[in-house]
Amino acid sequence: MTPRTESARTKPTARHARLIDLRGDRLGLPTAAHIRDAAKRALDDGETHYTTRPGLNPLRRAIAEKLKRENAIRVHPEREVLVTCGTREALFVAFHVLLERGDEIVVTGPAPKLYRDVARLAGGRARVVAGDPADGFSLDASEIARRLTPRTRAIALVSPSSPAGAVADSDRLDALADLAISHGLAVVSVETLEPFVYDGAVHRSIGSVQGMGERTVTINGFSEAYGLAGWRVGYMAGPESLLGPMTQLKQAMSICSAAVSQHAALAAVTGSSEPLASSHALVAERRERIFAALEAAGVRFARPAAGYHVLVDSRPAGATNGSLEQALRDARLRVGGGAEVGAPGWLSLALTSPSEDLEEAAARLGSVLVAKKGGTRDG
Amino acid sequence: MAETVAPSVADNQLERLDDEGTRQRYDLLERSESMTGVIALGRGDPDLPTPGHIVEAAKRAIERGADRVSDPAGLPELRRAIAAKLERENGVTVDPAGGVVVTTGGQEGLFLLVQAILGRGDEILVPDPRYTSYDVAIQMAGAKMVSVPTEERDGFDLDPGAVEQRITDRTRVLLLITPGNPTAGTITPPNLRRIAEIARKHDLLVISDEIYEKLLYDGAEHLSIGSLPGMAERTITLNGFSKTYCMTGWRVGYLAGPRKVMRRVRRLKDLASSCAPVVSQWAGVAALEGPQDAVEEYRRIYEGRRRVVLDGLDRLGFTYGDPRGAFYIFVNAASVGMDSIDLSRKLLEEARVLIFPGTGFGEQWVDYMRVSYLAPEEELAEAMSRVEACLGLRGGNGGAA
Repeated sequence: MTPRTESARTKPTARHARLIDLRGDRLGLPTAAHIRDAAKRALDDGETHYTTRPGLNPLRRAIAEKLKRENAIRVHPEREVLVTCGTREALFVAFHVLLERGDEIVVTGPAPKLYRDVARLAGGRARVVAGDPADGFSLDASEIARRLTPRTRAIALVSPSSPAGAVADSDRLDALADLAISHGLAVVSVETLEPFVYDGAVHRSIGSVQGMGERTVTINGFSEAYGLAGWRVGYMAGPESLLGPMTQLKQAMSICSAAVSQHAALAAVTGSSEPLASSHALVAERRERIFAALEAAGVRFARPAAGYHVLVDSRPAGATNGSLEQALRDARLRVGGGAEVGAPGWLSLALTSPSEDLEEAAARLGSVLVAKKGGTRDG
Repeated sequence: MAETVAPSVADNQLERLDDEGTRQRYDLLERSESMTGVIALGRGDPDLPTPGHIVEAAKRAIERGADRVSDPAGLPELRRAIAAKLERENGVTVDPAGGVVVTTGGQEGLFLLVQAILGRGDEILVPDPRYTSYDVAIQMAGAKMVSVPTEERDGFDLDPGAVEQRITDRTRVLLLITPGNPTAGTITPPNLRRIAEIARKHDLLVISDEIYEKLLYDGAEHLSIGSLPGMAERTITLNGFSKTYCMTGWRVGYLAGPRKVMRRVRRLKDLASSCAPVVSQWAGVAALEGPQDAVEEYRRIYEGRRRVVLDGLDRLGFTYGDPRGAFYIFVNAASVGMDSIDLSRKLLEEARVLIFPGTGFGEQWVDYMRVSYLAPEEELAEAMSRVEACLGLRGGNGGAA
């Protein structure tokens, strides 16, 4: 989302002269050298023209192979894969094709505001159904079932989720699949955090579940794990009945994705897995450092199984209290509000800064929450 | 709800996405790509390379690191270069900070802009024939397209009277494209001035698509409507790099206009794709700030090619609206006596020449064909001979069919 600027009202204290902003959603890693080289070679080879509208054929084939190999999803590379200008365009296209005025889409939450904004833009409405905090905010198909209405057209499944980092296991996916099948719903499966799974969790794609291939559009990309955010290239894959109209809309929006970016993506998906390993390790290190620091500071948090955010429990300190916000400002700390993502009472911390900053942030947060807790009520 | 219902896209959604013209064009394109030996005079994708200094600048940007997203409105460096260009070359004044949004090509610019300024039931005036990919943008916004006819005999200039006649109390926007696609006609300055008056009088917003502004022939003049008195506040100028600098594959263009409109466009751009590809944005900076020699060099190349095709068409006895710009010719092939889509198919299958049918640009243009002259002169001459042989036409007999 849009980078925010520091509040003009902030008064830095001597102790916390430096602002730490953990509201981001981008790791900002550099593009790997072999990907950059491939992109430069493509330019030297004159790859500066429109590509085939749905994307370069070798890239779509490589994506189809990746989906088959790693996700057990079978799609036809030419008819069922669409290269987009990042996963955001894929989401925009999917929501606009699936939703008509007044339609609803259930979004598994907590989930970024983006989903609600895009649904509204498409003339519909997103109902964010957040999992139970006590259950690690995990996907809860029975809660989703209760929230379906006659206008529900689709479910947007975000697994691994953001910012809670929940990974839906097989049982939960099967339950959601049953629900989608029995209600004739499409599923938009957003899997961008697939490269960032930890603690022995296993990512599984709902598009691979029996009976789901015909109703699932899988969205993924290269931005964070390969350091390709600025290149704007991602993809969507699914049955021709859905991908066909989505391809039409994508064409009307942007004709094709940038040729040089597609060549970079091709190098990413067919080349060394080293970028994946190193970005995974980088986040692993940041996770452990901030978890340890949060524990040391006496801050309660929900240990995420995936992703690069952590939700911190601010309920004991009175999360809805405006004075908490003020205390965070005074501590020169910017964090995401839980209410915005469907987790009221929680604060969202993005691990988008170096570990030292994360540790410092945890310490500041500890002082704020403990002071608030002491100052507002007992316990 | 039955147990086995597959999800499907609702019929009226499919209607909104439907665009017969684009489908016709792409069906032919895909067919031609499966064949060998085809001379492609279809898609508006310049065959010439992106100028070397632009490619080198992009490679340097890749080295330096173009990994992170930019502001949704684009790199500040590019927005400043765009505002300076508009001021210098077009007499259009915009605020680089709040009045410019860099888009993933001109097409995304048009799409987002239409979503930003048109609501359900609003009307937009669009010259006919038209680039039909814009239809989907208008349909998705729930708006109504009102066609304003243009004529071969006027060189497809836009008649201000024809515009004014079609204004209703629901008309919000007037779309202009000069030089035009598919007609290659230009809106002449006197007409453009009258159209500006009409827009002011009826309080219309104007979208001015100027993507072909540098490709002018026979002394044709380009005038930006946003530079006329009282028009800056109601004009959104759409332009890009694809056609001027042969950069179609880079997907970078821009919108520039009043801050109030551009603020909404920036928000939509953020939701639609975060920002334009950053490597491509740096290429855009190099295009605007670097040497401009290639622009005129390319124009001269097109001018030579245009002559070859016009000579061929004259020999075949075809007429056309005076093609004063772009790299197209909208040809009247009524003398052949076939619907244009059938003629396109025949020429592709029998002569191995890809030429888009007029109906790819509006259903009533059954007598017309759009030739794009984006191939070397020898190929263009060969294509003309093949068409001549295929149709059994002989030089100067005005059409034997």
